[in-house]
Amino acid sequence: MAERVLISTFGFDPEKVLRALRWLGYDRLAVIAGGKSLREPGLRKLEAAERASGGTLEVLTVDPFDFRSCFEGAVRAIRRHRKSGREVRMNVSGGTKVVADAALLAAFQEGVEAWHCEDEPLKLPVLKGVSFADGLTAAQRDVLAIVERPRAVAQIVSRLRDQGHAERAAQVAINGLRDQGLVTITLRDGAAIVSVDPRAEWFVRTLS
Amino acid sequence: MTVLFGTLGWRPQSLMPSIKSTEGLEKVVFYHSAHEKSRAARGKVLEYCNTLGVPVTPVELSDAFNLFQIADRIREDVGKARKDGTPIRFNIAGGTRLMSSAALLVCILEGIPTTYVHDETYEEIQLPLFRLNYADHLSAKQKEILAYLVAHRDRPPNETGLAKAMGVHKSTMNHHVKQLVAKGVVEVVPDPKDTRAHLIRASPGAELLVG
Repeated sequence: MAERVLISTFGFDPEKVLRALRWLGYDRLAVIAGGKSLREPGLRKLEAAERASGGTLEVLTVDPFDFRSCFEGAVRAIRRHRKSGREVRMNVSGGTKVVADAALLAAFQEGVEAWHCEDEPLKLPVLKGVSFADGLTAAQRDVLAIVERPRAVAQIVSRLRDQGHAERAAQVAINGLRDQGLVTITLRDGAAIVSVDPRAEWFVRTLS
Repeated sequence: MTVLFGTLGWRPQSLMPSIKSTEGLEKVVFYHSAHEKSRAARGKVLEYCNTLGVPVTPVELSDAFNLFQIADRIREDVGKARKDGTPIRFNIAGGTRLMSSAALLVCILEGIPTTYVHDETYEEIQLPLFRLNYADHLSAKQKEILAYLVAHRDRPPNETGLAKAMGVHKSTMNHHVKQLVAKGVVEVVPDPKDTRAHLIRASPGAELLVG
C-alpha cells in the first residue's frame, strides 16, 4: 500500500489539524501555513506530536493572504508527494480563508481527496484522479504549451498542423481557450496574437 | 447583464469591489450569517445597492458553519438565476470559512467565474475556473447511477439490486461501480444485515455532483 500523506492547512489552532489526524489515516503530515504560524505554540504542539509518533512534520510556508501563493504552494506539495509515489489527502479546515480556499481549489485541480474536519469529517466531492486539465482538449493543451510566449494565430495553427491537428481544430481550440478566459487575442500590426491572459497566467502554469 | 453572487462577513469592503467592477449589473444576491456584525455589513451593502438602484437579495443563513447545507442553498439559487441564461459571477471573499468554501465548491462544480478580494488591498483577483460543469467528468451513465444512489441514500442497494434498478447487466454495473469508487464518489460498504454482502453507497457530498 502506498504511503499516505496528509497535507493540511494550518493557522494557529492545532486542534483543527489534530482532529483531521484522528479521523483520517495518515503516515506523513505536511502543513501549509503562513510565516507567523511558524512561531506559534500550536505548530510546536504538532511537531511534538509527530516526533512522539516517530514522524516529522513538513512545513510549507506561503503568504496566507495571497491566493496565488497558497494555491501554487499547495499544487507543488501535492505533485512532489505524488511523484514520490505517495497517496495524498488534503484537509482544508485550518488557516486563513484564503489558504483553505486555495488548498481546496488545488485539490480539485490535482484530483486529490479533500476533507473539511470541524465538528465532523466532511469529505468534499472531488473526483479522484481527475484534473482540471482533463477538461481541455489535446489541441487546447498544445496551444497552451505554444503560447508560453505570445504567438500569431497563423504560427500556432501551423505548429498544431505539424503536431497532427486539423486547421479547424486549432481555431476551435484557440477560441475555446479565449472563452475560458485563459488566453487573449489582440491585433498587432494586422496579425492576431494569442497570449496567456495575464490574470490567468498563474493558473495556466499549473495546468501543464 | 450579470447577476453577482457573493458571501459576506463582517466587512462590506470584501463585496463592494465586485459590485463596482461588474459590468451590466442586473442584481446582487449575497449570503451572510445571523451575527450582529454581519447584519451591520448587510445594511451597508443594501444601502449602497439601493443608491445605485440595483436590486439586491440578502440571504441570511440559518447555520453559517454547515458547509453542505450552504452549498445546497447556493446551488439552488444559482440554478434559478441560470434558467434565464443570465451570466453569473461569484465573489467568495467574505463570510465564514465554511461559507466561502461552500461558495467555491459550487463555483468549481458549476464552472462559475469566481473572484476573490485581497484582505488588505481590496484588489479583485479572478480565479480562472473552467467554465464547464465539473460533473461532466463523469459519463452520463455514471451520473445516472450516482443520482440513483443519492436518491436512495437511506436504503443503499447491493450491486445486483443497483444493476436491476438501472436496467444493466451485473458485470456492466460492476465496471461502473469500480470506476465510481476509483473517482472517490461511491463507497462499497459491508451490509450490516449480512456480513457476506456489500452495499453501494454515494459518498458524502455526492449530491453536489448530481445537482
